[in-house]
Amino acid sequence: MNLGDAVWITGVGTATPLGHTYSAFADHLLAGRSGVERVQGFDVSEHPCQIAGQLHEVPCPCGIDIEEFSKLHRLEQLMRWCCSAALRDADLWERRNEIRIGVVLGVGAEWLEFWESDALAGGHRVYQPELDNESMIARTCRVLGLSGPAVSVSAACASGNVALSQGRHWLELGWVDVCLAGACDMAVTPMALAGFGNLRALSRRNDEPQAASRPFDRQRDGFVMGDGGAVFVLEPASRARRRSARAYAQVAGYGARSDAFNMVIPSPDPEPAIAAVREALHDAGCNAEDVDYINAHATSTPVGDIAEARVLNAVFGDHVHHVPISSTKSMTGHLLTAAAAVEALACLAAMERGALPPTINLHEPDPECNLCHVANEARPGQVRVAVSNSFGFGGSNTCLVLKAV
Amino acid sequence: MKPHSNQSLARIGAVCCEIAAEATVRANLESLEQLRRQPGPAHGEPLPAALLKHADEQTVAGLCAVYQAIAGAGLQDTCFCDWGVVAAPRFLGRPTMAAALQRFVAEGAWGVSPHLIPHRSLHSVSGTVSQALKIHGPNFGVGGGPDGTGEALLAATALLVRKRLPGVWVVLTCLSPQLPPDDAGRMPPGTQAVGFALALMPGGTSGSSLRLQITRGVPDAEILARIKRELGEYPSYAREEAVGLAAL
Repeated sequence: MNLGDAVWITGVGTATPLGHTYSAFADHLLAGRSGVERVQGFDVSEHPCQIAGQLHEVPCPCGIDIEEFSKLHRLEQLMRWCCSAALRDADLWERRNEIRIGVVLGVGAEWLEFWESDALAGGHRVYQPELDNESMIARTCRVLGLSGPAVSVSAACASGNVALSQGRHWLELGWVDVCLAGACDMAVTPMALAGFGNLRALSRRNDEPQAASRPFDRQRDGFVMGDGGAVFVLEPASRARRRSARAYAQVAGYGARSDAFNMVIPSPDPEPAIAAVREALHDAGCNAEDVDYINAHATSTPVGDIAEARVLNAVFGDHVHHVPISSTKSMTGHLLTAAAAVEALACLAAMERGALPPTINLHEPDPECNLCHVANEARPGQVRVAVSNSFGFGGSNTCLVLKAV
Repeated sequence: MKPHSNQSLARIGAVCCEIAAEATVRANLESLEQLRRQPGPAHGEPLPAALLKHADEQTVAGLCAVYQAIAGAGLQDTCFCDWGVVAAPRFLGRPTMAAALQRFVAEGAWGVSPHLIPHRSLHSVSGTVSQALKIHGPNFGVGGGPDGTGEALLAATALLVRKRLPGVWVVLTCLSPQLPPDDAGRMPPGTQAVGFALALMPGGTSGSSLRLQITRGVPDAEILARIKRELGEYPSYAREEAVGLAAL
């Protein structure tokens, strides 16, 4: 691609607790529906948190043998579904062998999740290193016939933004013609639910699943885990124009800084997160006043939501009281490694539908999170520039800027 | 061979950066407790006492390698504040997971350590290195499976070049040899934690004559092979076919 050429999103594949297609996801998101429920599929009676936004079934992509697909690990099913759906949506499926397609996916704990599900089903793969010879992303590329480089990345809950940024870089460097970028996670497993629960990070509002994820609300008591993923087709604008492709948005800016403070606890110093948001806006050639919508990271934890509100106040100044902001984790739950990718999808929905997704369960806004909330119901609003914050364990602070095309 | 100019490199989808420092650390797991307390020659502020208490063996080896690389290249006075960190552990947490699974089966949900996820996920090595060296640039993990070397070089180079960072630490780690743990998560005697650290800097900034070139998303084969030798080869995909596993 020519230096200076923009990178567009020209295809989307997704599966989330709110739907298995972009349009279903957008419909439910803007209707303010919650995908959170009591966990099914395993016994949670001794878990401190017993609720999640689960993906009960991953659709089998067209042309793939259902029986073979059903034998795959659920995370690999999700990758294959999202990648193939994105390519089909971009109208590149039939031509995927003719172009060099790279893949960058946020995948945070592939092997832990695989060993766990295998062991709980009676297997012994954790004791069989000689059999662990190919990663899911490599196998997905091989099976789908994709010839470009493929990389799994993880910055914990910020992974999707890292993947989109890497995909954009690969196009700018001329390494690939087209890049699939996004993130997938099937984190709602018995041990992960227990691990986060024992970390005291999760909501214990087990009797009211759909009211449990309540970012920025005074009564919030932790996040709610979720399964899902979103993968995007990234393509140089010049190439997309030549083939008259549908453009969802431009990946316009990205910023990333690390706290270097603690593996779990956000830094009391907001500077790294502030710098990440400013870097992203600068990269996109935007001022704070240009931003029409902010999709917050806000997970519904007592500490994290306040920390993010301080960051936004510092970056946006008085304008923070005029920029609509919401946390769509109130509906999807926190999709961990996949969160940033699915939240980028929420920004696309806002742009396309001219409507701002809400933070549901926001009945009593925390005064320390004094922001311009889109509370409980979607509202009309033209979005030309959207900002999506994602922060993660390991001290990662990332910000993505998407522009309407 | 005449070196390519930056413009001609860009035309062929190639980027080039310098290898400013590198080091390999091999530590027997039995000796790792000492390294947890003092992972290498001091650099900057003293480490928080508990930084490595719950860290994976691979994380400790990776951080040790970074410290060794700093000392070996005389970078002790360098501020890494704006650098990035890209780390590619290989099967991070297998021994711990083996023990955790046993404990989960015996004790249920309450038996799962809250340290499991923060310290055994793909981002855990890069996050810890970032914290230890007070690196405020981007940090993330890559790969995680049998061979993350190429993935790490690709991701790190893209980050270095496009985000215009002063440098990126590439940290590759594994256990060697790759043998199964026992039910308590113990590895066979003699198992080593291996860490390999590489400091990448933009062309013309480090004074190093060692170069890494990536062309059309493919890293320089010679460097890739050298790093793989340091880490120890992992059986390739061909082996999976040889042992008759269904190609899922």
